[in-house]
Amino acid sequence: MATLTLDQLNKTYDNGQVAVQGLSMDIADGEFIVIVGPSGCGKSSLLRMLAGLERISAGELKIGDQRVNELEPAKRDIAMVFQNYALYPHMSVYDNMAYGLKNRGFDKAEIKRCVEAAAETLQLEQLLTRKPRQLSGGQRQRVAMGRAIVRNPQVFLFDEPLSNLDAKLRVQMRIEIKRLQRELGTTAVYVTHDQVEAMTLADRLVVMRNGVAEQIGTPMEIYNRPATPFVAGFIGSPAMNFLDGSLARGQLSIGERQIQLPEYANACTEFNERVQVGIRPEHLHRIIPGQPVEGVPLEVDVQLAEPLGADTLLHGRLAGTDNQFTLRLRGEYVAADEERIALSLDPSQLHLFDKQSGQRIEPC
Amino acid sequence: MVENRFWLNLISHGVLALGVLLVAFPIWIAFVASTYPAQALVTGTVPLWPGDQLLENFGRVLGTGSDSSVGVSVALMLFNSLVMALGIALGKIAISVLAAYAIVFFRFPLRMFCFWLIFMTLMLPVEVRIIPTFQVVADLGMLNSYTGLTLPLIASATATFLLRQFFMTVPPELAEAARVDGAGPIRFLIDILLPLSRTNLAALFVIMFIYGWNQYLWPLLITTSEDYYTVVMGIQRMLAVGDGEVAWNEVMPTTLLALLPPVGVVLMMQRLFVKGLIETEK
Ligand SMILES: Nc1ncnc2c1ncn2[C@@H]1O[C@H](COP(=O)(O)OP(=O)(O)OP(=O)(O)O)[C@@H](O)[C@H]1O
Ligand SMILES: [Mg+2]
Repeated sequence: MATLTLDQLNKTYDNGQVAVQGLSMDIADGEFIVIVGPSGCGKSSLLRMLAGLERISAGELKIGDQRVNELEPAKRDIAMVFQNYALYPHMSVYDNMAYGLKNRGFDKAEIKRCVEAAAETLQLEQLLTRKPRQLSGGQRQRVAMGRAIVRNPQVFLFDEPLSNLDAKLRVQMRIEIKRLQRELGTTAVYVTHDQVEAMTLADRLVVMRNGVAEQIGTPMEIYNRPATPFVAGFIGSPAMNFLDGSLARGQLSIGERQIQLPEYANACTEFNERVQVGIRPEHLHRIIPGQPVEGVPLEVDVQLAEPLGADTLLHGRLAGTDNQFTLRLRGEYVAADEERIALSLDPSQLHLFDKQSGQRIEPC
Repeated sequence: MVENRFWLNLISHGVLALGVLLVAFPIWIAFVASTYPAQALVTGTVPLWPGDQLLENFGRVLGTGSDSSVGVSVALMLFNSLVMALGIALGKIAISVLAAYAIVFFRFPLRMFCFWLIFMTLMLPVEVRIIPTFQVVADLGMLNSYTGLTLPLIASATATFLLRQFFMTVPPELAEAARVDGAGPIRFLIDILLPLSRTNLAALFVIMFIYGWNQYLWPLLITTSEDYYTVVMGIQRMLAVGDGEVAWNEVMPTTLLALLPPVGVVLMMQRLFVKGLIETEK
């Protein structure tokens, strides 16, 4: 139970690889922070710096009010759950959970009480005498969790803890992790590259790219107002569609098409600025013939339909262009080959990004 | 094809039986020879069935300092051998564990240089460096001592190398988890690394024990006092009687006794030993 203060954290490996660059944020007590980003963007490096497993090249890290840059992992009062769980293979489940307490000099009775309490929380009571190799993947995962919660640390650190589980178990454990963290009120930092995990678990989300935090915010903030095209494309599934266009005095031109966007009339843009237009697949609605068209009309030539049950994904091209376009329509939709469907879009759900700076353009 | 398999089985069993015979027959002869009085063996031929002097021969060999050519009891020589073999095996393991641990789990200047330095000594077995080693041991006044018998043979590139290979297969996350759990380097070594290497250590112990037990040249060189004779060199002394008669009825029991400890160690460690050789699961 502590706040975490990251001030301009940098990590440069001995081989010159810059893994994390100028990362600053304040993490509140009890907050659940999820770090997402593509492979190699420095998520693990950041987490390992927090854990003390990797030296901090520059910057300052505080847990509570204490600067911990030079502290050993054990002294930071954190607990970490590893991707491959890293259970001690020769120790029973009980000993695995007790080991950290033993090293901290707890007495036997105290250890027994803590381990049994943790085992109960995680429904591990029946497994306490087993060795890790006699457990299923999900059970191992629970033991790894148990090893983390048994010490009641200040901060939980998770490095892709669910990526070795099958889809169903992953959902189950995800919910359990969230529930546990809520119950214990422990600050948590969680690394994943799974969007769903990121969106559902996070109080706040950090989207990283090439060692830099591109955006930090609540999941809905990031979904609704992504700061850069990268964030916009990374969060949301299927990924956002991008079109090239230009924006001048409240008029957006995409190819031949003109769209009036009065909200952007005063947007701080140069004259006729080139912009990237982002449209989420789920924000397009089919025009039902005979009804009045609301919003911006668009047409898409469908090439491939993927029924998902509740929704249908349609892949195709924006009519008259070479732009690849993906749609997500409610319900089942049987599309004929090369069918052209008419769609409408609420202009307030357009995302505009300055082509030059790569930053979001806000209506103003 | 049942017929075929029958013949195949027969042949392979035949070959195996032949192998067992080849190994077992000399031991049988040694056993038989140790059951006759000295005169019965002077002719050089050994009967195929045991005689009646078994207990007498073994008793004489183990008991009072018997033979004129050696001058100490076989019991003492066995004890010396045991001290030497255990000293070498345990010493080698202790040193190699520490060396391999340092090389695999710690970053220090000249780490790889140290590793290659150790590795190169693989090319320098005892026999090659025996004269300078003797000089050093003599200068340190360690001739005729247990220290002199064991210490120079303790450094082991082989064991260090094997343990290094094993340590490298231990997932680094295990060390990190232990660090987060508050285990220092020594605790990690004792609580986690050594228990995981159990089978490998047992295998190394067996190999090193036999290596130590079978040492011949080195004890021959640095012991002049009978009190430090080992059983392997003792046997040689018993045979070197010049023109006199070799007391086969004493040599053979001694040989059999010399066989026992290594066999015992192998049998004791067999389960772990086999596991250590074939097991990859950790
Ligand atoms: N020990 C190391 N030495 C040198 N470079 C490293 C080291 N560890 C990681 N890197 C590099 O640092 C960058 C960030 O690595 P990191 O492991 O933090 O990525 P990640 O975001 O966790 O990726 P993934 O999702 O694949 O786990 C990568 O380019 C990687 O190659
Ligand atoms: Mg990673």
